[in-house]
Amino acid sequence: MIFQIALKNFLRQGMRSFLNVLVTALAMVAVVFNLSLYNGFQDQAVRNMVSTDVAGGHYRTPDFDLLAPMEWEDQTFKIPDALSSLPSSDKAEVLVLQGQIFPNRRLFPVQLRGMDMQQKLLDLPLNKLEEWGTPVDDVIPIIIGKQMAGKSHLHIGDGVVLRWRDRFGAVDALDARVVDVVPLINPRIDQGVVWMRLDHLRKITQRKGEVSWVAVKEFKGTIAGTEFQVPEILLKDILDLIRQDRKYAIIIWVILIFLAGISVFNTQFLNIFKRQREIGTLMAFGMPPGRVVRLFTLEGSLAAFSAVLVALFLGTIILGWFQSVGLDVSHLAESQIPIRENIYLKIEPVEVILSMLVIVTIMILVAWIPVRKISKVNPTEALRGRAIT
Amino acid sequence: MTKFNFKRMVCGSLCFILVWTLLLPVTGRTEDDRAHRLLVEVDKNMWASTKYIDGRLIIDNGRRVRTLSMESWMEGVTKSYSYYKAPARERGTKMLKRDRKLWMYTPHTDRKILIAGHLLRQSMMGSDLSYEDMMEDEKISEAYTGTIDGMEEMEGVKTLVMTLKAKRKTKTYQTLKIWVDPAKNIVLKEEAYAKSGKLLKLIRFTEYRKVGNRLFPKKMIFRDMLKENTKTTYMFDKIQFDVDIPAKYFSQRILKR
Amino acid sequence: MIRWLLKGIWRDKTRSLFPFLVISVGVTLLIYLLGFMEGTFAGMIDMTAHLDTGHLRFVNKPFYDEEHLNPLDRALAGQKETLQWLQKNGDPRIEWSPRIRWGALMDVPDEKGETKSQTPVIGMAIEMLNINSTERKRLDLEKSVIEGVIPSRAKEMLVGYKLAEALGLSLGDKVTLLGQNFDGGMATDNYQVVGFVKFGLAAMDKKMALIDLADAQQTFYMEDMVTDFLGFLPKSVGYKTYDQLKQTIMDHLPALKQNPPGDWATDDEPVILSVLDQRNLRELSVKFELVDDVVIGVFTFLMVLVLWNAGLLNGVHRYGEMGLLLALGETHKKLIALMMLEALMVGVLGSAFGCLLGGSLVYYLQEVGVSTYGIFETSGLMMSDVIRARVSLDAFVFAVIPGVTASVLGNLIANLAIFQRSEANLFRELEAG
Repeated sequence: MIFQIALKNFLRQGMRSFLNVLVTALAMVAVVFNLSLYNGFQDQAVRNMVSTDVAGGHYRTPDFDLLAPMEWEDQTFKIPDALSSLPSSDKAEVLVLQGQIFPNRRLFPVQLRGMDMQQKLLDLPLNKLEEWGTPVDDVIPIIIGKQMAGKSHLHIGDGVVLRWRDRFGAVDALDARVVDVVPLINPRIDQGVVWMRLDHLRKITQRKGEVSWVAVKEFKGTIAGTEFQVPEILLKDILDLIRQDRKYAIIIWVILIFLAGISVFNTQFLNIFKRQREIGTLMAFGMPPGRVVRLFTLEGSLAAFSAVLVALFLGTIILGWFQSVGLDVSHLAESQIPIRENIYLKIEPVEVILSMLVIVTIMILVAWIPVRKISKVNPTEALRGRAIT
Repeated sequence: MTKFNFKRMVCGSLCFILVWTLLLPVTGRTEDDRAHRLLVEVDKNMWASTKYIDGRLIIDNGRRVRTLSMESWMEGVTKSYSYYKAPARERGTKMLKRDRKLWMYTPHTDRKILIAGHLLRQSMMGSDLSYEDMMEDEKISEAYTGTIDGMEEMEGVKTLVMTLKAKRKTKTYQTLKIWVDPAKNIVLKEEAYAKSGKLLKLIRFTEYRKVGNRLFPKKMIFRDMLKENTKTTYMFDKIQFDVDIPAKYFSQRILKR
Repeated sequence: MIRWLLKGIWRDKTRSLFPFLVISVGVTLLIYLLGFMEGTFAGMIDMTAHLDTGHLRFVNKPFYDEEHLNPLDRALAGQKETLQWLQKNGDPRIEWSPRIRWGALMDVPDEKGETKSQTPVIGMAIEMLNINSTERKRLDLEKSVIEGVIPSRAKEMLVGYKLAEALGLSLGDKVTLLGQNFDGGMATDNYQVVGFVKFGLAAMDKKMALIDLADAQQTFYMEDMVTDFLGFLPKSVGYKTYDQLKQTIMDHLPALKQNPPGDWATDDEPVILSVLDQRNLRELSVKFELVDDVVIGVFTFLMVLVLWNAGLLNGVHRYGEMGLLLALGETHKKLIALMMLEALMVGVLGSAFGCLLGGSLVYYLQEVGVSTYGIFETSGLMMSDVIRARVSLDAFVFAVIPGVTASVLGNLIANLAIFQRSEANLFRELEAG
């Protein structure tokens, strides 16, 4: 009964109702879009780090520190059987050592990163290294990232002298050839990093079977002499960064909801001015004030309920379109954020429902606040249009 | 201590020549054996029990030339002490090498700093030499096995070319190549190679003169062959062999004001 | 006529107050949003600028090319002369701060003065001894120093808190730096560690040491020399103008190269860079602007809808009044013109008030910022824990246009209904309202 009256009233407001619905629906879509975009963003950043470097965690020596290059050579270890016996899809052996390249005969200290070519755990664009058939007697094939190429002025096909120390401390040097310059999404594996085949790096440094760390798909239990670094530690910086961004997103959507709220509030506020006689009449016919309040609140809230439907419709179209295109953020590959390619939305149903609920609740609240004073209205005054001024 | 290394190389080469001439007429020995004996003799000639050098290190980084002047005292192959006299900023800096450890003392900080481990690989005072290069404390005949490659003419001098391979894998330079003037029994050139055979460093020995009963160069010029336009020249202005060195020179107590 | 309308607006609050408020709030929100978006990105740029690149950077090209090696021998001499030149030839709003980027071995002695621990560190030398130093504020040292104090005397040092941990440092400890001086020769000096600093970036917290500029010049024998002149601009200057300011200086560079300061080396070749030229921020800014535009577009659209609705409501509210006026012989056209004028006035007044409110809010955030330490869990990222915004002319324009037009348009659409209704109908609305 109440619902039917409210619906009739709501529909009769025509354009005004439609605008409220549209505003609320668009705000909902924008909020969901925004949240999903952040999810997608975080997801991809993390996924990229995970897929190129972190995987499901690293086994390394307790004292290994990537920020202390001088100690790298003392922190290698023979890969334990427990790890070497894992299938290639579950582990990636990595050896990291100090080296120097001499582009234009100028010293450039680098991180030599030897990557297992058989591994299938990490997704790295190193196939040009894999294709290298000849042994490393004369020339070492290397791959560098785009940023590194820019900084060192090296291009595909360029030769450069590479110098390093072997396991015993003897100096060695060979010509290296840049067989590929690849876009590496993660700056940490680009800046100052020279990629090599693990077998090459092991051979030239005489470190048979040695690794700096072993990236694994999942924790394989404690292994003597090593420490397991969980992905959360390895990803800390990036997770912090995204968390920081996310809290700013909240501000934007608070503003959006506020805006939609104003619209509904405004409508309701003017409604009770304009429709005092209607209120008075309803009360005069014996409708309890509380019920009148409910009626008006329901009418105002209908904007929110309809908005949910409209939002579902609009959202499906807009988000669907976006999913087919994606957001091009290739620029971020060059920044500190490891993102490449397009970002897609990651829609979390729980989040969507929750944010919809929040918006609807707020809308009901703003529909109720202006009309709640009806309960104190004197019907005769209202009939004369003088109850609310 | 700085000079120590250069000197080792110089003397090593000199001795080698000497020995070479001695052994040349001897027949019935294998080439390798002869080469080894050569190196032994080189060392004998080179390593006086003690040495004193008053010299200069001229460092040219391609843009700017700096000159350091210092005095050094050496005992055997393992002990050495250097005192920097100039320029004013480096004046009073002391370096003590003992038992494979290197300490540096600067009067400005009144601190002795131990330079150890991988830090030894850093360039010494911006030169083409690392601390490690200066730390060489092994006789050439003990560290390397030599083979004779043949004769080669260099700047009008007929020289003997010899390849030296390190005996131990821990040697920084696994391969050396030296050019020896057999007539004067002096080394004219030394090249240091990477294991792969890539040339890394080049040392020229020039302006030989007689010091006591030894021939000693006045100049050694070091070049890092991977870098452009850099050069470090070591000038031996004064050199004395078998001098008396007070024991305190090789004690850590010397490392103070 | 206008006075009559103003009187109407003032006296009949129901017909003016609500549209006015809606427009004000809408404009405020829009200005805030725009300021906030701009401020967020500007904040990111500022963080990089303050810690690393400056908004503008005047540096010797040979040094810049080999930055990763900290080649002090490629520093620029003639600090005072160069600074004067920059002040004369650059925009007067730019505040120039000389800095030295250095690298050295840090050696920590035990009680006997023997080496206890050592590690290579990267460092920055800034003017920080003076309590009024702008650099102190720029790096927010009061907050970043999590233990100890900011250096107040010569040869005092701040070190990254993780570095301190790794070296086993305590406050008050003496450490020795061993590095290369300007000549390529050896530089050694003692410093006293007086504070531990936390910038929230692992690479800095683990490897960074901060010393005073004059101390660094003494330690590295760089009298009257620095590696960088960083130019900082007040917040009122948007990052989009950096390139323009850079160009101005660039135009003067040939003249400087013709007649360089006497102490410069012959192959010194200074370049001027904007923060956007470094750390790949330019590409980021292009994409950021795109996202910015989308957000603004969506928001403006929503805002127009809301204001339109407000206009509709307002119009509907006054059907009766219009009926009365029509009955009194007013023509439809004139009536609508009248309504438009009134809507325009409400729009202008509302927008003006919104600008004032939004502008002050954004200005407050720009100058003071709201710390979110309490609200959000500290993430460890320096400076970005403060919500900031930027005042920009664009924001006002973007906000006022929909503010005014939506008000007028909303009213117009609402009033068009007048044409469709008979006077009698409208008059009935008067009775109803």
